[in-house]
Amino acid sequence: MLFNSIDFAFFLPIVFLLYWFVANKNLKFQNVLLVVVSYFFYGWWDWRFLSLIIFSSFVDYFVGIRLSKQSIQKKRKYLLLISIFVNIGFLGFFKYFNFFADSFADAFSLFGQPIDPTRLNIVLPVGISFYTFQTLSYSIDVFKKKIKPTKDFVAFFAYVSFFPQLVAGPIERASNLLPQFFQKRTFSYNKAIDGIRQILWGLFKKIVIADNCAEYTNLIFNNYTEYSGSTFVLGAVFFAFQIYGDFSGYSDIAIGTARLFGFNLMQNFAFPYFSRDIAEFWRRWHISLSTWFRDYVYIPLGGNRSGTWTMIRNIFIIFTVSGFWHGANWTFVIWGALNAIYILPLMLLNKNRLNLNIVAKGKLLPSIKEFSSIILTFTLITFSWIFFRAENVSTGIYYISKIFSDSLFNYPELIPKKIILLILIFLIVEWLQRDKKFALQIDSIKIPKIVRRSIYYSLIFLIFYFGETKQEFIYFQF
Amino acid sequence: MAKFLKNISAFMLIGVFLFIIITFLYSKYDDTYTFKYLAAPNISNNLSFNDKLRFASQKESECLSIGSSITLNNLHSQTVIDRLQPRSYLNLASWGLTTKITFILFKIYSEMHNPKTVIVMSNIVDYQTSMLDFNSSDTENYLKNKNSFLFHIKHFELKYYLKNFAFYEKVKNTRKVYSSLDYDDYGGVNFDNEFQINEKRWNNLFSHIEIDTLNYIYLDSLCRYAKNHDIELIYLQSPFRKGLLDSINSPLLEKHTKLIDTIITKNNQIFIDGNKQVWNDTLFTDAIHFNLSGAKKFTEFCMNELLLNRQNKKYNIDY
Repeated sequence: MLFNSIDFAFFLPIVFLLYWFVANKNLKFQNVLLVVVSYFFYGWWDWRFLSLIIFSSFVDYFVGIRLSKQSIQKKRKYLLLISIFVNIGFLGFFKYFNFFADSFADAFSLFGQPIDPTRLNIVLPVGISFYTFQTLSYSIDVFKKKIKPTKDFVAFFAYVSFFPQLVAGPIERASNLLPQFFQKRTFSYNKAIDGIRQILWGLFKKIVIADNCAEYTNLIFNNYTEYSGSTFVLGAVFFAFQIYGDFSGYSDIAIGTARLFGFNLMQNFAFPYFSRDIAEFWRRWHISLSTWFRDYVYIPLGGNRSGTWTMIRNIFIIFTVSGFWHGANWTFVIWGALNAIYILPLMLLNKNRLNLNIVAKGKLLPSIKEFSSIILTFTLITFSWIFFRAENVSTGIYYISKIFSDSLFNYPELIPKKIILLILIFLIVEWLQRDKKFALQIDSIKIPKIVRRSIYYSLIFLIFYFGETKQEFIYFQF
Repeated sequence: MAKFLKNISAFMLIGVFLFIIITFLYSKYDDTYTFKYLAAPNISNNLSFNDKLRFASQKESECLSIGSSITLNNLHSQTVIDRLQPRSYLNLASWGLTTKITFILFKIYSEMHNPKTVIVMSNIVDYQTSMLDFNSSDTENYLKNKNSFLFHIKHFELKYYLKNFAFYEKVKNTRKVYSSLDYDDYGGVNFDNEFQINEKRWNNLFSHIEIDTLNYIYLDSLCRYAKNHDIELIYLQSPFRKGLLDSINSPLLEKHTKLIDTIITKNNQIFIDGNKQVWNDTLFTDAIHFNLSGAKKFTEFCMNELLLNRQNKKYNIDY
C-alpha cells in the first residue's frame, strides 16, 4: 500500500481508531493489532511475500533466544551465521541472482567464452532490503550482547513488521524501537499533531516536489540523446530534488505515522543539501542506513583505527556495498565508489568532523564560505546522482560527456519555471527550519491559528493540485 | 484524544465546507459565462467534449452536425446554412470522437433536439479505438438537467479548472492552433488560412492505424436509428490532402469506403465520398484537416452533391 494512495487514506484512520479505542486497554492486544495491520498493509501489495517476513522474523526470534542461552562462542557464531545466511540469502536470491548471472556471462564472453546465463523470473519483494537489515541488526546486537533478546513473540514480530517503516525505513535498531513495544503507549495530543504535520510535509515533498521533478527527470534521462549539456545539468539537479523529496518525504510520512501510534522513529534526513562537506552530507542523508553500515560493517572491519590503508579499504567497502544495497546494477556501485572518493580526502586529512553543528546557526543567511561549501557539496552529490539514475554505466558516461561538451553553454531546451519556483520556495522553507526535525515543525513558532491553518490548507491544496501522476516511491525498488 | 479528534474533525469540516462553497459557486456560474475561461464541467477526459456539452446544453436546433474534429473543423457552418437553409443549425462535434461515441451522442442529441437532418463528417481515423473516458448517463444528465448541484459535486475538480484556465483562454481566442475551441455562432471551428502547420501532423500517413471494427456496427446502428426516427443522415467522408494520396494505405481506405458506403446506403441514408475528388495541399492544415478555404470549398462540394442526391431521390427537406 502506498502512503500517497487513497487506500492508505482509509487504512490509517481505521487503524488509528482501532488502536486507540478498541485495543487501548491491553498492550499485548495493541501489539497484536499492529502485527495484523502491518501484514495487511504489506499483503495489499502481494500477500505471497508475507511468508518471507514471517520466516525471517521466526529465524531471528529463535536465533536471539538461542544466543542468550548459549555461552560457547563458537556455537554463538554459528547461530549468528544462520541469521546472516537466511537474511542475506533472501536478499541475494531475490535481488542479486540475475545480476550475478548476467555479470558472470559478461565476464565469460570477455574471454571469448560466451555463455547463456540462467535467469530467474522473480519479483523483488518490496522492502526486503530494509526489513532484512533491521532483523540482522537485532541478531548482531544480541550476539554482541548490546541488547537482551526478547521472549515476547508478538512484540518482536511487531518490531520487524511495524507498517510505517516496513517497506522503506527508517531502518530501526532494536535498541531504539523494540523497547517501545513493551511500554504502555499513552496518547499525546502534541505528539499526534506533530505527527500529522510531518505526514503533511512528507506528502508535500513526495507529491509536489519529487513527482513534479520526476516528470522532467524522466523526460531528460529517457531521451538523453536529444538534449544539450545545459538541459542535462538541469536533469541532474531535478533528480537530486526528486530523490530527496521522494525518500525524505517517505521517511517523514513513516515517522509521522509512527508518532500517531505513540512511537518515536529515528530521524532519517537532516536537511542534507545544506551540508558543507561530503562527510556532513553522509551524516544527514539516509541516517539509518549510513549508521547501519558504520556500526555493522565499517567498525567491525577496523574502521579508521587500524592504519591508513585499512581505513581506505573500509571506506571503499562500505560505500560500494551501500551502492550495491541500493540496486543490482554497476551504476550503483560506481555511485558508491564516487562518494568514497569524495569522502576520502576528508578522512585522510582528519577533517571529516569539521562540520558537526547546524550551518549558520542563529543567522538568516550563510557566510560566503559556507554558501560556497554548500554549493560545492551539492554539485559533487548531484554529479554522483547521475550514475544513480542512469539505466546503465554507458548511459551515465554518455550523460556526463554531454554535460562537459560545448552544448553546456546552450540555452536549455527545457526550463520548467513552475517547478524551479516550487523548488526555490521549498529550499527557503527548509533553510529557515533547518534546526528542526522537519521543516513543518512550527509548533514552537508563535503565529496566529488562522495563519497556521492557512499554511496547512495551502499545502493540502498544493498536494491535490499537483497530485496528478502518482509515482511509486523510488526506494520501494531497493 | 477528544481534543485531537475535535480539532482534526473541525479542520476537515472546514475543508469540506470550502469545497462545497467553491463547487456551489462554480455550478452557479457555469451557465452564465461570468468567468469566460472557466473550463466546462469535468465530465470526460476530453476538454473539447466537455466544452461542447456545455455549448449544446444551452441551445436547440433542427439541423445538427455530430462527430469528431473532422466535423468540427472541416464543415463550414455558413455554407451549410446557405445551402440547406435550416431554421436553426448547430455543430456539436468535438475532438477525439470515434464512430461509437458519435452514435451515443447522436441518440442523446436526437432525443433532445428532434432534428430533421444530421450531418456526420468523418474520416477513417474515426474508426480507431476510443480513448475517451466518459459516462453516457452522466453526459445525458448534464445535457438535460445541467444545474444539478450533486452533478457538479461529483465532477468537481478544482485542479482541472485551474490547470485549464490558461489553456482555455488560449484555445478560445485563436483559430491558429489545432486545439482551437473558438467556435463560430453555430459551434464550428474552421482553422485560419495562416495556420502554424505541425510538420508531423502534415506528413501523418496513419500507417499504423488500427481499425476497431465495432465502429462499423455502431455506424450501422446510427443509420438504423436515423431511419427509424425519420432523420435524414448525411454522411460525408472527408479526404486526405493531395500530397499524401500516393503514400497512404489505399487498399485499406478503399475497403473502408466500400464498407461504410454499403452500410449507409442499405439504410437509405446519404453517403458522399470526398476522396472522389483531389484536394489541393493549400487547403489543408495537416493530413486530414482543412483550413478555412478548404472547409468552405469542401462543404460547398458536399452540399452540391447532397442537393443533387436529393434531386435524384426527388425529395426536399422542409424545415
